[in-house]
Amino acid sequence: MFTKLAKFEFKYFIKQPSFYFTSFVFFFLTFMAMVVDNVQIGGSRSNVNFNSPFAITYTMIIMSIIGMFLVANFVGGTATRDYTSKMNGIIHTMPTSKGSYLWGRLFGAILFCLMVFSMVPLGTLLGSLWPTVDADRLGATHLWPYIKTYLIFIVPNFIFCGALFYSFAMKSRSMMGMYLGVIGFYVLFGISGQLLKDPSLLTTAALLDPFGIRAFSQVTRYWTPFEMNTNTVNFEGIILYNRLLWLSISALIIALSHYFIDIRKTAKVKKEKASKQSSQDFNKDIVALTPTASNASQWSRFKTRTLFEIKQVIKSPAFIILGILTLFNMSSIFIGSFGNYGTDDWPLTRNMSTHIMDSFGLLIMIIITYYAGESIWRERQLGMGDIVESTPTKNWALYFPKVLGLFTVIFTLVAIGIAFMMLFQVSRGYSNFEIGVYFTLLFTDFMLPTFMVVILSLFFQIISPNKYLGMGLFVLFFIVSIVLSNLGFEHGLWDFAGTPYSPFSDMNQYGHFVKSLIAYNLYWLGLSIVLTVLGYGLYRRGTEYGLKYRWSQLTSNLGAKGIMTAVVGLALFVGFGAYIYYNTTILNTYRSEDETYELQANYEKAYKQFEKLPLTKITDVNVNVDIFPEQRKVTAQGYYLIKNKTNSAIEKQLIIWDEKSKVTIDMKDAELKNFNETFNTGWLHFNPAIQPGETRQMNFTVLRQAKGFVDGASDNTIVANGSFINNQTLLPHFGYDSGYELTDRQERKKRGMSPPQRMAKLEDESMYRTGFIGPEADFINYEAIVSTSEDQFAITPGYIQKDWIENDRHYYHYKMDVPIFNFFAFLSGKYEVLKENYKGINIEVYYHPTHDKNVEIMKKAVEKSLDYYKQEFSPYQYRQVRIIEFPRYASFAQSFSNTIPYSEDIGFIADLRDEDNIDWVSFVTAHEMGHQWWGHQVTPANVQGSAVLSESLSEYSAYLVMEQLYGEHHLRKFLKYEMDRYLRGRSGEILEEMPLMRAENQQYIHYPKGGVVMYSLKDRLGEKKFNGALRMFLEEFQYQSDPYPTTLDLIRHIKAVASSDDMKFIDDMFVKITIFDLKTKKATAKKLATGNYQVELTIEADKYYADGKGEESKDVVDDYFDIGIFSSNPDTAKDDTHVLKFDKEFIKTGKNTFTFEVKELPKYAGIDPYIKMIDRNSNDNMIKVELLDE
Amino acid sequence: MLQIKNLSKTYANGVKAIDAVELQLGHGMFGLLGPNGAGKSSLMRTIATLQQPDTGTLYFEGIDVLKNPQELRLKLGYLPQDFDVYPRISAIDLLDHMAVLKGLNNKKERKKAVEGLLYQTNLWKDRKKAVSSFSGGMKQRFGIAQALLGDPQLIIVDEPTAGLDPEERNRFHNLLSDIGENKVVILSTHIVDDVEELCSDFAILANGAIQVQGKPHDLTAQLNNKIWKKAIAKKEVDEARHQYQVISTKLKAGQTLIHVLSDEDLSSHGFQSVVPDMEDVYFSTLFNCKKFATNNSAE
Repeated sequence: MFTKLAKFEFKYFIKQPSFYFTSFVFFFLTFMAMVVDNVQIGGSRSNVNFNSPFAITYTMIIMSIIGMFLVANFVGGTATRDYTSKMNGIIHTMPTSKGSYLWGRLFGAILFCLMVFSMVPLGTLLGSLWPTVDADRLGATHLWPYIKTYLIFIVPNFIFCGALFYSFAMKSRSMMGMYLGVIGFYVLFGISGQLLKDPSLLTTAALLDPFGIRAFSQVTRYWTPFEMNTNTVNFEGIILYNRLLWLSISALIIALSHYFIDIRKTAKVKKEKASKQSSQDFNKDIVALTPTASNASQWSRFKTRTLFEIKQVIKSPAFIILGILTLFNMSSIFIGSFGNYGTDDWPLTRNMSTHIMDSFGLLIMIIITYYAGESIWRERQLGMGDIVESTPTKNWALYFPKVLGLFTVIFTLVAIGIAFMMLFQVSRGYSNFEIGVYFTLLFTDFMLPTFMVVILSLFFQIISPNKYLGMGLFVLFFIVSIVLSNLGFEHGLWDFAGTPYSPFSDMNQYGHFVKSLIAYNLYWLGLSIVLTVLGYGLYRRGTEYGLKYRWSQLTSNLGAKGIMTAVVGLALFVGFGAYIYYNTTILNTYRSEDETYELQANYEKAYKQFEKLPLTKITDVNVNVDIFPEQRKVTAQGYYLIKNKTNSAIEKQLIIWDEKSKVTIDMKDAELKNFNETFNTGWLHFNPAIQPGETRQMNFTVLRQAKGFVDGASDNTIVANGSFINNQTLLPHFGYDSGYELTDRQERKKRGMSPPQRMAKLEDESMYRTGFIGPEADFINYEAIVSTSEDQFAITPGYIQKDWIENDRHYYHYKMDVPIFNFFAFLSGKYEVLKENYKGINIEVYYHPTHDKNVEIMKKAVEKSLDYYKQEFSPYQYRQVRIIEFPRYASFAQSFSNTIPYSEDIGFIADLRDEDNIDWVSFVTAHEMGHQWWGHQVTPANVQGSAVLSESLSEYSAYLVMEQLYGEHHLRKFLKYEMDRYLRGRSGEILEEMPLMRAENQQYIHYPKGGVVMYSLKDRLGEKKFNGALRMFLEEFQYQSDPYPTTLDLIRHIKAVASSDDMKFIDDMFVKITIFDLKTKKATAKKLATGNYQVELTIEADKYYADGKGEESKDVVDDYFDIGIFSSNPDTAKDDTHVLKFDKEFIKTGKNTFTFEVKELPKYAGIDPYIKMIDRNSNDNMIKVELLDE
Repeated sequence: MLQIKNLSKTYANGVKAIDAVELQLGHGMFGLLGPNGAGKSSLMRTIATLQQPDTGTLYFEGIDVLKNPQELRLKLGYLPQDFDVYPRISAIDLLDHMAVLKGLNNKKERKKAVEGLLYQTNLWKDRKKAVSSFSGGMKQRFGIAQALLGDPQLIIVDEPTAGLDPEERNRFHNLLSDIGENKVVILSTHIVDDVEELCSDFAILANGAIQVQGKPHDLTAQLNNKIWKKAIAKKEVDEARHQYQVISTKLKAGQTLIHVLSDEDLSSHGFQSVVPDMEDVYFSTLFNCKKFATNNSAE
C-alpha cells in the first residue's frame, strides 16, 4: 500500500501542469546563471571557476532554499488535497493503514520534488557546456560534485522540509499551517545566520541551520580559490553532524506526527450545540420594519469593514504565531553580536531600527504574499462572497479596508518589534529611547515602502483569476525586477517602492537625503495611488467577472472622485518621475555600472601611457576654504608652490580633479590645453619649461556645489553637520590617477584590456620617488584659512593662529609649523569637545553631544600611544592630537597630520562597560595614532607592500598599546579575530594572494596578517631588538621622499638585528605565503607525590607554502614555538597569575610529545596560546587538560 | 417588475449556461424549476449582479441592471445556493455587519431590524453563537435573515430548502409567501413541491433555456387527458420506453409506476388516466426537451 500510494502521488504530480512549470523554472534559473553574465546565484568570485565543485555545491544549496517553496507547495498539496476536494470521507473509509496513508504519500511527494530539483544540476551542467561561456572560467567537467551535493545536502533538506511542512499541513488541515511552518523555518535559518557573526558560535550556527549551508560555509570558510576549484566537501565533521542532526529531527517529526495526527478526523468538527427551536413562526410585520437599504454613507461601511478586516487579521491564529515568530527572529540580537570584535555597540535607536528591518527581510515578503492572497480571496474562500458582493457596498468600501487591514499587520508587527527592542535597550541599561527616531526610521525606510509593496501585491491579486496566480505574479514581479536591474535598468526609477540609499546619522539626521527621500516616495506613492484606485475600480464581484468586463466597468466604478484621485496619483508619478529624472540625470550625472566601467576603461586607455612622465612636486599649499554646510557648497582659493625635483625640464604635465569640483587654474607662463571634460583632466603646458630645481606658483579656485540629488552614490562630503572632505577630492592634482582604473578582471577582458595590475612592482625603482598618496605629493608647508557657519567648528591640520567671526561666518586660520605629507582634509560640524594637556601635548576629542560614552577611552588610548611610541620609535612631531567625529557615511577612522577624523559608526558607539570584551576603540585609536609615525613620519613608496609600512606597522603599534593597556591575554582574543579576518580574506581573493612583502592594498593582508607577523617577530627577536630595528628604519627614512622607503628597506633593518636562525622565518613571513597548522591533540595531567602535576602534551605541527591561488606545498617544521600551561581559561583571565608554564619549545613536523611538571592543577594547555603564528585554525591550539587518576 | 430579454451566457469551457432567456416577472413568488445543471444558479447570479451575461438585457423597475448593478443591489436580497460565513463571528454581530453593508445607517433602526430578523428567523436564542457553528437549517435561516435586510424589492433565493427538515421547510415557505406579496421573489429549486406550494408563476429551465413558463394551474390544465399511468414490472420498463413517451418512473410497492404522455386514449392498453399535477408538467417538459435534443443530434 505504501508504494502504491507513493506511486499514486508521484504520478498525480507528473500529470499536473505545475510539474512542467516548476521544472522549467529551476532549469532556466541555473542554466541562465551559467550562461548569462548578468544573472548570478549567490554571487561569484572571479578566481573560482563557474563549474568548480564549490560553485556547484553552493548554487545547489542556495537553490534548495528556494526549493523549500517547491516542497511546501507540493507536499502541502498532498496533505490538504483530500480535504479541499472533500474526498476525505471516501478515502478515509478505505482500508488503508495510517502509516501507508500518511507517509506513502509524503514519500511520493518528496521523490517528485527531488526529481523536479534535478533540473538544478542539469541546468548548471548544460550551462557549463554551452559554447558561449568564457572558457577561462571553466574547469574540467566532473559529475561527482553534482551527485555528492545532491546526496549530502539536497536529499536530507527535502526530507526535512517535506516532513516538517507535511506534518504542519496535516495537523492543521490547511495550507495556512504550512505557510507558518515555512516562515518558522526561515526564521531558524535567519537566526543561525546571525550567530555566524561571532566566531565562537560558528559551530552552533553551523549545526542550527537546517539547510546545511552554514555548515558548508564553515567548512569552506578558509578555502583558497585553488581549493574551491578542486575540493569537494565530504560527509564528515560538522557537515556530517549537521546532516545527522536534521535527519534525526526529521525522523522525530515523523514519529510525533504519526502519533498525533488522526487521519480520519474531519477538518472542522467543532460545532456548538444549537438550542432547541421553538415552533414560533415568522412574522412579516416585523420583517417589513427593516429600513430600506441605501447608498448613503459608504463611509460608515468603510469604517465598519476596516475594523472588520483588522479583526479578521489580528484574531487569526496565523497572526499570533507570526507575532511570536517576529519576536523570535528579533531575539537573535541577544545571542548574536552587533558591533566589532565580539563587542556589542550601545543599542542606539537607529541601530535597533535597522535590526528590526533586517529581521523582517524576506519574512515580510512571505507575510505580504500570504495575507494579500488571503485578504482578497477571503470572502470567496469562505463562501461569503456572493452575499457580501451583492450588497450595495461600493467597491472602494470593500477594497480599501483590505488595504488597511494589511497595513495594520505590518504596523502591528513593527510596533511589536519596537516594544521588543526597547526592552532590549532597557536590558542593556540604555535609556535614550528616541521613540521619534524609531518611528521616523521605520516609517520612511520600512513601512512606507512595505505599504506600497502591499498595494502592489493586492493589485496582482485583483487582476488575477485565482489566488495562486496572484501570488505567482507578485513573486515574478520581483524576479523580473532583479533581472532587469542586472540588465542595465539600474536607475531607481525602475525599482518599485525603492529610494536611494539614505543612511540616517545621529549627527546629520537624514540630512541632504530628505529631498530624494521625499521625491522618490512621492513618485512611488503616485503609482501606488493609481494602483489602489485601479484596485477598487477592477474589484471583482462574483466569480465570473473577467478582467475585460471589469475594465469596461472601470470608469463607472471609479466615479468622478476615483478618476480624480487616479489623475492626482498619475500626476504625482509622472511629475516626480520627471523631477527625479531632472535631478539625477540632468542636474547630476547618472551612470549605470557599465557606463562607469566604460569611463574607467577609456580613461586608462587614453592616459595610462603618460603615467611615468616627470612631474613637479607640490611643496607648499596655501588655501582659503569656505564651507557652506547648509548649501552643501564649498569654495577654495589658493596656490600651490610646485617644484621640479627631477633632473630634466618639464614642459607639460597632466592635471586632474574630481568631476564634482569646478576648478579654474591661474598660472603665470602656463596654459591649460586639451582639457577633457569627460575625465576632468588636461595638459598644463609651461612656457618656458620648468627647469630642474625651479619653483613656481600655481593659483587655483574651486567651486564645489551639490545640486539637487542623485540616484546611487551621493556626494556626502559637505553636509549640514559633519562635513569631511580631503584634498584629493576638493583640489586639483597632477599626473595620471591610477585610482580610477578598472580592477575587475572580467570587465577588463570584455574591453580588451590586460589583466589588472593593482600596484607597481616592488622592484620598480622608477616609482620610488612617488609617495603612496599620489605622484605629485611630497612633504609640504601647509597653511589654510577655513571658514564655516557661525555655529560650527572647522578643522584642518595645523594649529589655530587666530579665529574670528565675520558676516555670520566663523573663520579659523590654521598653520602647520613642520612639513606634513600632502594629505589633508577639512572638517566642519557642531561639536562638544574634550580637551586635555598631556605632557605638553593638547589632546582634543570633538564629538557629537550624545556620543560621549567613549571619549575618555579614546583620550586614554591617545595618551598611551604617545607614551609608548615616543619611547620606542621617535618623538611626536606635533603639539596636538585631535579626534573629530564625522557622520556614518563612511565607517572608518583616518589619520591626517595631528588630525584624526573618526566615523560615528565606529568607536563612539561601542559598549565597553564589560572589561572582558575587546576594547577595539582603544585599538583603533592607537592604530590611527600609529599612523602619525607610520605614514606621516615615514611615508612609503607607491609600490607593492606600501601598506605594510603604513598599516601593518600601525597595526603592530596598536597591538603593543593594547598589550600595555590590558596584557597579553587580552590580545589573544583579539588576534583570533585578526586571524579569522586574514584567512577569510584570502578565501575571497579575486586576483592573487600576495606575500606580505608584496601586498597590493589587500586589506586582509596588510592589516591582520601584517600585524600578526610583526607581533610574532617582536616575540621572536625580542621587543627591544625588534622595536630597535623599526626605530633604525624610521630614522633612516623620516620625512624622506628621495627615495621613499619600501618593504625591502624594512626587511633589511629587521634582518640587521636578527640572528642567522631567524632568516628563514623572516623570509617565510615576508617573502612567502606561509601557513602553519599547529594543534594540540592530547593534554593529560597526573598528580605527583610532591603535590606537583606532571603534564603530558601531544602536539602536531605542519607548515605549508601557498601560491597566489592557494595551492599548497608542504615544508618541514623545525623551530621554536610557545607552549603554555594554564590554571584557568586564558580567554577569561584578567592577569597573568593563571600562567603555570610558558616557554618556547622546539617543534618538528608531525607529532611531538612533551612532559612538564607544574605546581598547580593545570586546566588548559597547548601550543602558541597567544596566536602569534599564522595558523590555519587557531581554535585547536589549546585544549582542556584531562586529569588522570593516580 | 423584472424584465429579462434575450439573456445568454456561455462559459469559457463551452457550456452554454443561459440560452436566450426571456422573462417578465411581476410581484409575487416566481418559481424557477429545473434539474441540477440547468443553469438556474447562473441565471440567479446574473440577476444578482454577480455574473455578466454575454448578451441580453436585464431591467428591474427601470434600472438597467447590467449597466447599473449598484442601483439594483440597493433593492436586492440574495440568498445564494451555497454559502458559508466568516468564522468566529456571532449571528447578531454578523447580521449587524451585513446591515451596515446594506446601508442601514441609523444605529437604532439597524439594531431593531437586526434583532427583529433574528427573532423572526428563530435565531434569537442562538444570536451570540458563531454562525459558522450553526447547523444547516439554522444557517439557512440566517441566510434568509440577511437577505431580508434593507427591505429588498427583489429577493432571490437559490435552492433555499435544500438540507432543511420538513418542519423548517414549511416555516420557510410561510415566510417567503408572506414577504412575497409586494415584492418580486425568485425561488430557484429542483423540488417540484416547493413551486407547487408557493408560486403563482413559474418557469422550467433546462439546458439554460426556459422551456415553459406560466401559472401552475394553466400548465397542468394543458396536460389534461394527456397523462396516463400504469404499474408494470421493472423488467418491462425498457420495453415501455420504446412504445410510449414515458415521462417518469417511480417505484411503488415493488412495481414500477410509469407516467406516459399521450394524446391518444391509452385506457385500452391498461393505462389509467391521471389528473395531471406539477410533477407531470415538469417531467413532460424535461421529456420533450430531451427528445428535442436527441432529435436534433440525430439530424
